[in-house]
Amino acid sequence: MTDTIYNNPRRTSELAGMVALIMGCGETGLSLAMALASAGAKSVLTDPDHELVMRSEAAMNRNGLDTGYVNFCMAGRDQAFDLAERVIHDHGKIDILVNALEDFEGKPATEISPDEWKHSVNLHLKTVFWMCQAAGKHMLQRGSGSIINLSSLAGSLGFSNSLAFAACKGGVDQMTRTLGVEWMRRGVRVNAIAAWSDGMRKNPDPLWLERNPLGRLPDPGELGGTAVYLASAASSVVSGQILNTDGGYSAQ
Amino acid sequence: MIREFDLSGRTALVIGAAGDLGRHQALGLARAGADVAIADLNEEGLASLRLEIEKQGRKARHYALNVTDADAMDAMVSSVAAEFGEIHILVNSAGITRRGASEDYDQELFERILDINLNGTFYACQAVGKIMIQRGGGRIINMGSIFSASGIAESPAYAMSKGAVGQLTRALAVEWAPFHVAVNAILPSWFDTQMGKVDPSFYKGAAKAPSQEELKKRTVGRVPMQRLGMPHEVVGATIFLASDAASMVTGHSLAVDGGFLIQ
Repeated sequence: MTDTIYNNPRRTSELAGMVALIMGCGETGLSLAMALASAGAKSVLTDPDHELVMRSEAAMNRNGLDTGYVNFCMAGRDQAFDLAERVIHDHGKIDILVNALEDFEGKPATEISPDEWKHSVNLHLKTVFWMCQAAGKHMLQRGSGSIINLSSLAGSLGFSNSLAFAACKGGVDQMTRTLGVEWMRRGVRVNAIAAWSDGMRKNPDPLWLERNPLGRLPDPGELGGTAVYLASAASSVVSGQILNTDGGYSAQ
Repeated sequence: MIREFDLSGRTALVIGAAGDLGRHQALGLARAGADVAIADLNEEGLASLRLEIEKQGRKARHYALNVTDADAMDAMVSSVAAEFGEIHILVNSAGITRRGASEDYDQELFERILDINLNGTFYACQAVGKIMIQRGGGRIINMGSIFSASGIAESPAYAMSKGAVGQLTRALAVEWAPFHVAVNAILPSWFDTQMGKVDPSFYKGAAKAPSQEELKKRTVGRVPMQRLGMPHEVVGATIFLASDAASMVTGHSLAVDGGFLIQ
């Protein structure tokens, strides 16, 4: 029988001894960081907003969770490799990468300026890919790792007034599948979690709640279990998947 | 001509018309009766295409265009609207690709592919969409790919750009449905075009470069029909999505892929 966490008598907590790098300390990013740390990982935080990182780290500490942070300075591929290198230097390795850096701006498609469009592509597509490359290369060398991209239902369904965000999340879904396929045999798994997004939840269309079998939108905290599952050996043969963690919305 | 497919009196704008698929799409739309504005970076390719369209008795104009320049896009679209009066149909066919191992994928190439395939499609949709909304409707056709939906190794930039184009299509379809602007995508598999060929230089210096046979096995070999698509085989889907025959169809991804996505 293949050795799994379920038939291993030495099993402790799912993610004990693992290092997770969390890109983005928004509500969802922090929730995922906490969930992974609760399962035994050390969650290393980063975000362009340094104050937010400090507050998030304090919240983690208050809850007795193992954490750390790394300064954010993303501009391109080189900086992503620098960032990953610093985490590896300080914490020894990266077992888990969570891409949860988001900036949703809801507006009609006709009113998006080229600069706003490019900002979205930079943050939601390019930065995510550079981090997948940087952490992924390290993981490929070690022959193991799990990458979790935060996607959104807007990455697979059509929502109004979300174009710049939605198009990028469609790209994230395809990045997830491509890398999932390409890296599976080399021990690195790449999956995505899709709900709405912090930005979409702030000002929800009433229809999203009305049409949701759950009767409301999921809280960021309710995505944590999916993240622990995808980060752990429990999902050892799961890759390239977009897990809609959405209260059943996308099943209709 | 079956009435539902008749495009007489319509104006189509085909961007990326000097490419193998774009060229056939522009000619097909003209054959179905549309006047056609054609745009591409390759002006030379446009000039001969324009003559071919005019030979069919249709009006044609060509525009040199760099799709990554949003201002140039706006200017070109304004010229087309001024010249033809209206734009009923937009086909976004400009695109490039290049294979490469994902973990070492080159930054410059990555950005260029996103810029042309994704940003260019957005600029075109936005510029033409505004005109269509004003005039009360229109039909937009974006070129996606089987890479819009399926995970295929060693093409991260292309897959991301095409996944994003698929989502751009769905989001716009929902948002612009009340304005009678339909937005659909065509998802081709590997086609017998310049772009469909794997650049032999890609595997130069690689530890183990695949043979032509292996490459074929990885691509066409995975298509149930076991062959490349021919450029003219994308024309029927284009005319359908551009015409009244598709009047209730929006946000759809129409696979023209020899059965690839259904396996």
